[in-house]
Amino acid sequence: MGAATSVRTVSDALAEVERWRADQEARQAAELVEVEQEIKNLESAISNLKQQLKALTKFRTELQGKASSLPSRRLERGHAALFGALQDQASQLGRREAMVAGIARQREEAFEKELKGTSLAAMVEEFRQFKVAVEPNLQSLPESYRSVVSEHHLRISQRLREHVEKIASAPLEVEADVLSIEVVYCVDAPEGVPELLVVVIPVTDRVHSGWYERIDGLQTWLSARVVQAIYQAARATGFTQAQAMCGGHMELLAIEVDLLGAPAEFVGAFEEQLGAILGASPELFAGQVFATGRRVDVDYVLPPEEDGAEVPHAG
Amino acid sequence: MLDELQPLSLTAAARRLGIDPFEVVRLLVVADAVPKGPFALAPELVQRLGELGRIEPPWWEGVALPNGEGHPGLKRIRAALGLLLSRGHTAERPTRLDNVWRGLEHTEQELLSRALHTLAEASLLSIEVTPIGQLVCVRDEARERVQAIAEGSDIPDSLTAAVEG
Repeated sequence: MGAATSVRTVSDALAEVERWRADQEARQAAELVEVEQEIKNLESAISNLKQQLKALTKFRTELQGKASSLPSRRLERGHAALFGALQDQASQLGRREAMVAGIARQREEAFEKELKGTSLAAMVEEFRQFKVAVEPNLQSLPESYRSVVSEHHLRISQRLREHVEKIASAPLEVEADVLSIEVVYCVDAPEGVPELLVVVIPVTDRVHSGWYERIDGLQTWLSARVVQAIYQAARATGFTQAQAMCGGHMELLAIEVDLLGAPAEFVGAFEEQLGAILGASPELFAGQVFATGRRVDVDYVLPPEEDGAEVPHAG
Repeated sequence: MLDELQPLSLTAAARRLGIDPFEVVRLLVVADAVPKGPFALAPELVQRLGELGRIEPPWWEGVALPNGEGHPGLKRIRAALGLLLSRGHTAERPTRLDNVWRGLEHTEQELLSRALHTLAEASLLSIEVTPIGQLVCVRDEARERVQAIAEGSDIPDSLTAAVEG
């Protein structure tokens, strides 16, 4: 009998099937874990993307909002920039005014000294004696004496006055850098027809509201020249109802003119007068102040508020 | 002593006339007398401006306010209306608006300004802007009503609000 042939047994075959099943089971389990992980990864990525989408959508809304508010923010910034510049100019002008006041005091002192040391001194003394001793008793003198004394006093007064006027009327010269000042104005015409002229002058609003406590100086003179331009333009165009209304706007002097009933050419005449007058004001030149008029967009001066109303006007 | 020989500054001229310096400028324009040089105004010019501007001396010296109870501001307004009537400032003879309060304290000036504008809005007074300044008068058709207010009766609510405002 030969050697027995090795034959695969059923048990082995089935055992092999079992091993295969076990392998398959293990592999599928591993694959399932991998797929689960992949799904989780994707879900996490989707969640992140959703968050990014949400953030970008919000950002887009914000950008759209910013774009639509750009015009109003431009006006806000323009208003702030304009008044910031004018307030700077007002500060500089205030300092220059103080310099001019110092020169005025010096001139006054020099004048008093001059009066004591010249031929005018005798005239001044005569004038003083008349005021103290003669004038109170003038009525008691006979008419003929009275007229002689009065005529003599008039001559003395006239000569003194000419001398005093000559000195007092000379501009107060300052040695300093030229100071550029801008007088800003605009025309409010919400319906297309001019309704209001607004002028803002880089001087403290106390120039008007506290005039009684102040003395003349560069700020008063500059403001007075603007008022002169308003009334000269009114006169030139027959605008008899022109009224310069003064008030404060951000502590600067603002002047408004109601244009109801104003001739169409009034604003142009004002611009012309303002340029000509500011360009020929000796008291400003002597103070080394170079003032010009500058027209600006009304919304920079009176920016519309959120509810559509404008900021309060000077009154 | 020499002050009377000196030209006046704008502010000094304004003090002398009892108007604000910008009103002085307005009158200088009307008089065609704006100085070519600095604002140094001869006393005679200032006097001329006063006449041109129809500026009157203060009205209030010796004027007694109405007796009895009531807001002092309202008494001042009633007295002012009485002065407008007694001085004959009706449509034929308007007077400069600031003539009414010249010489009074600043707060009283503001009060009268507010009150007169309120009465103008109520068509009892007329305030007209002219080249020399604002002029005021009692409207002819409102004389009796204004007289009543001056006497303390028939006070409009708007006037009471102006006093308190």
